[in-house]
Amino acid sequence: MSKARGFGLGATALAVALTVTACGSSNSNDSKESAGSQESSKAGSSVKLGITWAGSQVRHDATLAALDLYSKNNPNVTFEPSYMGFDTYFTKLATLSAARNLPDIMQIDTGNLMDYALRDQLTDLSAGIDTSNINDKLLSAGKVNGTLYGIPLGANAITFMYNKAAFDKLGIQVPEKGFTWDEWLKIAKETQPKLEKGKYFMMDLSMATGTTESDKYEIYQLAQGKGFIHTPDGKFNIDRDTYLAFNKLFADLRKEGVVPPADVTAGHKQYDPQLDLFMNGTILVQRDYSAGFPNFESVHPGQYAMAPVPSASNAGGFMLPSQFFTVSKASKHPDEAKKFIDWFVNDKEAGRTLTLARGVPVSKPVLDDLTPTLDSSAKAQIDIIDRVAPDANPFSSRPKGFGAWTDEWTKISQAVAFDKMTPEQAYDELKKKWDEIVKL
Amino acid sequence: MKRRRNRDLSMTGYLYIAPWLAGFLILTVWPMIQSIYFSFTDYSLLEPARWVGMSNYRNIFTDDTSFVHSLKATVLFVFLSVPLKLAAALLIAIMMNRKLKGMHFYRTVIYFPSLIGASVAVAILWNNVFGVQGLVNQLLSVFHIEGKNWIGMPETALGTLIVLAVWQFGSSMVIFLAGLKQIPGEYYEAAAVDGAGKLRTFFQVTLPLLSPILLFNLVLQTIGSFQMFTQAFIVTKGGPVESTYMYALLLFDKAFAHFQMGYASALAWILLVIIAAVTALIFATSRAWVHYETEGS
Repeated sequence: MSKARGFGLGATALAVALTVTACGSSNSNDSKESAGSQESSKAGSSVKLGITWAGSQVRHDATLAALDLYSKNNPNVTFEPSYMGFDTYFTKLATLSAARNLPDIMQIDTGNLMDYALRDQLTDLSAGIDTSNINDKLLSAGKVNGTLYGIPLGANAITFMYNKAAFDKLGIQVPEKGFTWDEWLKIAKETQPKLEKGKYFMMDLSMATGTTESDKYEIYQLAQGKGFIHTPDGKFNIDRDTYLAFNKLFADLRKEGVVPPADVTAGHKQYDPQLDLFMNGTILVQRDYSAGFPNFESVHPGQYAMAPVPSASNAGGFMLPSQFFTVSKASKHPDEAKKFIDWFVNDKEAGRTLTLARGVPVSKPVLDDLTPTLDSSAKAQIDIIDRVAPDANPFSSRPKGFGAWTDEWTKISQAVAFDKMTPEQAYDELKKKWDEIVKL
Repeated sequence: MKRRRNRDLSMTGYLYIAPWLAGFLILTVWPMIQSIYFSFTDYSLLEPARWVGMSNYRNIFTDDTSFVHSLKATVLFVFLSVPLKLAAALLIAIMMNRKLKGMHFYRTVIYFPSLIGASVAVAILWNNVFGVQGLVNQLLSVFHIEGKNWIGMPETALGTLIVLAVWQFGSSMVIFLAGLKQIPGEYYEAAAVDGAGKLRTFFQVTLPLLSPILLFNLVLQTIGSFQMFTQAFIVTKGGPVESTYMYALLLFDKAFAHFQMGYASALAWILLVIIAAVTALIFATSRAWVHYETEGS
């Protein structure tokens, strides 16, 4: 029964996708249309903006409230919102794109901004939106080949999250700026013998268990001063020696029992209270993004804290926009869409409605206005962004196909951890897959 | 005269099924034809399809290690889970085929896992059964055996999925049960008079008379198992190290995570050919072991 249904699902999805795309190829001249409609929006007639985003229920509620607020202040603008969880969001967006039916305003992330921009599906947002209050290190991620296509909506930072309750008991104090790699490793080896059986000091960063987890290694390469794993223009940039040293380091840690055995790490399921190794107390330190902090905080309030990721010759951390708003090239009301986005990021009232639904607000005045009303988990996120920001590596959006390549990363990293592949072979394989999958 | 009436009748028939037929042609046949075409193209859904000839098929057979791994995992899964599942289903059907007080209640209880088994919730539950601190390891610890993370090990992950599949024997069992009830009681009486034991009765009477049902279940389960998706998608995501990377999962990844629709279409057609071949093989052997009462023997 179940398999029949599984196939039915796949077949239906494929069929739907194929039929939808078959109907979509008859749209002729988009630019003419948008020119015509710009006039109509100037005349002040009513405008309906399509808007789509993905996220949790909290984000849906906050965004819908903000849309209502905007419509109240601008009675000529109404919205046609469409929102969902992340699991199928980008599939849907791709289908809409194939059908040339994209909504005016779309939430996109750093993983596929370049994808859509290079395919000429986004409007240039360089003019018409006030970006003077947004940190340059965030704004840069919204640019593709120098043109601004995405307006960052929230700040997010990669961090070392640690079990503060356990650290306090063990007498470990993490300084404001975090530890260096050497310091972390020394503490890890000293602490491990004090932990009970089945508990490990830290996450096995050499082994990915989900999607887009190559950043577990990337922070190490950044700290060694070798840059991100790709160049800003999307070329493969994994440093072979650094990659081999990293894998050796974690293979040793695995042998010493400072990180869990491979089969335990393979069972890790993020945010699952029973199976998330960090949440269930199996490990004390993990790398995760600051925007994910409330997920842990809500399960075990007050137990966790964040520190910048370790440094070596260089800082290892980076900040990135949690999400962007972009405007579709085919939008009939690009000016109204820009006006809305400008309000969405810069207006204090909007900020109070949205709070941290998309990470820490990017506009300083909005953030300052908001901060006094926030709870401790939100404040912890703002605090870590402040600590990471000064020496954060400037982040650039991921090249086209990056997400698919990280799936290969996950498989290859597991093959290495289970001793089915040597790190040398793994490096060659990663390079080969990059050349196959990442297209510019 | 007669021929015209016949044609009228068949026209009426087609008219009756027209709504279904329209859906079948537009939503099944047409997409299938399109997917043949797409299997010869490079098609990302976002850009127009580009004709690449046989290159998708060539890459799949010569340069795709994931294809090899997924085919291996899928074949292993089918060949282990289907016989085990059918054996379990038959055994329990025989146990259920008795006149006992409250039998309906037992049947419902036994069938229950199959009702919920396909659900996402049970797939998630599986992690808690075979995980580090799961049920299985707690049982093992009673005997002072230290358990592993069964789902996290490349050697055992597929086994946990097979157990999950076997556990969902319910629909096969119901069909077996219906088949058992069709077997006339005289045969058993005759066998008993001739002094056949329980085992002998089973192999000489029950099994041959049940063989058409067995064939039906075997074909159905084999086809279904080749397309296994949900449990692998949720319990293991195909990992660790692609040890549970079911064929349908590979297909799904290529199509909806990597947007390689052309490549995925080619994979789908290869799967269709494999399933057709295996099914044909089963039918070819069935002459040797399926016994139809109506044909005599």
